[in-house]
Amino acid sequence: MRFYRPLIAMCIGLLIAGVAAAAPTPQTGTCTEPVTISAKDSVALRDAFNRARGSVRLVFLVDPICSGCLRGLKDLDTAVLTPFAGNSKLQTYVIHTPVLGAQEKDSANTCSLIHNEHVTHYWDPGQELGTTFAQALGMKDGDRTIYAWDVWLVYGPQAEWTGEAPPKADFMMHQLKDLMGRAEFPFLRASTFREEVEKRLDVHKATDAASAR
Amino acid sequence: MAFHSQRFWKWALPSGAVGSGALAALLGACCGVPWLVAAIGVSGAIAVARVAFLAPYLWIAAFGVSLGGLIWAYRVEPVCDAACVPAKRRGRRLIAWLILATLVALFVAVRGWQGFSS
Repeated sequence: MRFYRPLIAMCIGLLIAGVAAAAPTPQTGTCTEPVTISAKDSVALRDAFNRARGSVRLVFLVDPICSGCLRGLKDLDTAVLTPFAGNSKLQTYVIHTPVLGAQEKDSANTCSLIHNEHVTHYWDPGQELGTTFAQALGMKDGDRTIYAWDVWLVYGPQAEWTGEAPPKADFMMHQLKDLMGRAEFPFLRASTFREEVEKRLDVHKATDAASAR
Repeated sequence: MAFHSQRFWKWALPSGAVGSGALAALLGACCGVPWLVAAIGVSGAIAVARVAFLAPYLWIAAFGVSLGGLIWAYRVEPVCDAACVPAKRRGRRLIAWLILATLVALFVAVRGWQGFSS
C-alpha cells in the first residue's frame, strides 16, 4: 500500500493541474484578453456602457490588423486618451471586429497604442456589432447599410443604451471611403474629436458644480 | 549618369518605374491587406498609413516613366552606316513591355486589396 501512495498523489496532482489548465481564462477586457460579444450577446458592453452613465463615453470600432484603424487609434490616443488618462469621467470601449480577418490575439496590436486606464476591449468574432452600430447611426449609402468599422463615436453623459440597439452617438467620425464627403459623417480629425470630447467633459463639470451648490 | 546615356535608359528607367510602382503598391496596400501589420509591424503599418495619400501620385510617376521607356524603345533611330553599331531594339522593347505589364498587374492587385479597405 505504501508503494502506491506516491503514485496516487501524483495522479491527483496531475488531475488538479489538468482541470486548472482546461478552465477557461477569465476575460478581463484588456487588450490581450478582450471580452467576447455579439449582436445577441452584447450585455457585457451594454452594462458597462450604462454603468458609466454620467461619464463621457467613447466607442471605437476597429479591425486590429487594419493599419488605417491603428493610425486612427494612435492619433486619438495622442489627442484624447493620453491627455485625459487620469480622468475617470471619460470611459472608452474599443470593439475589435475582424473585417480583414483578424483573430482575437491581434487585439494585442493596440496595447502599445493606448495609454489610458479607463479603456475596455471587446472582441466581436462574428462581425455583428458593426452592423448594429451602423443601423443605429444611420450609416447608409442608398439602401445599403455601410458596415461600421474604423468608426469613432462620442456619447455624452446622458446617453443610455435601453433596447437591443445602441443609442445614436452624439458625435461620430470615420475613415471610410463610402462615407467620404458627407457632412453628417465627418472624416476623422483628432483635433476636432478632442474638441467634441472636451465640450462634453466641460458640460459634465459644469453640471457637477451646479448640483454641488 | 547623363540623361541621354544608354545606361540611364537601361537601368534608371526600369528601376524607377518598378520602384515607384512597388512603393505605390505598398502604400495602396495600407488599410486593405490583412498581412501588412504582421509583415512590417504596428509602427511600420501606421507609418505607411500616414503616407498612403501619396499612392496615386506614385502610380502616375510609375506609369509615366514606363511610358517614357516605351517611347524610348520605339523611337526612330538614325539609319546606321558603317560607322555605328545598330542598337538591339528587340530586347529594349521586350523589357519596356515587361515593365508595363508588371505595373498593370501590381495596379490590378492593389485595386483588389482596396476593395476591402476602410
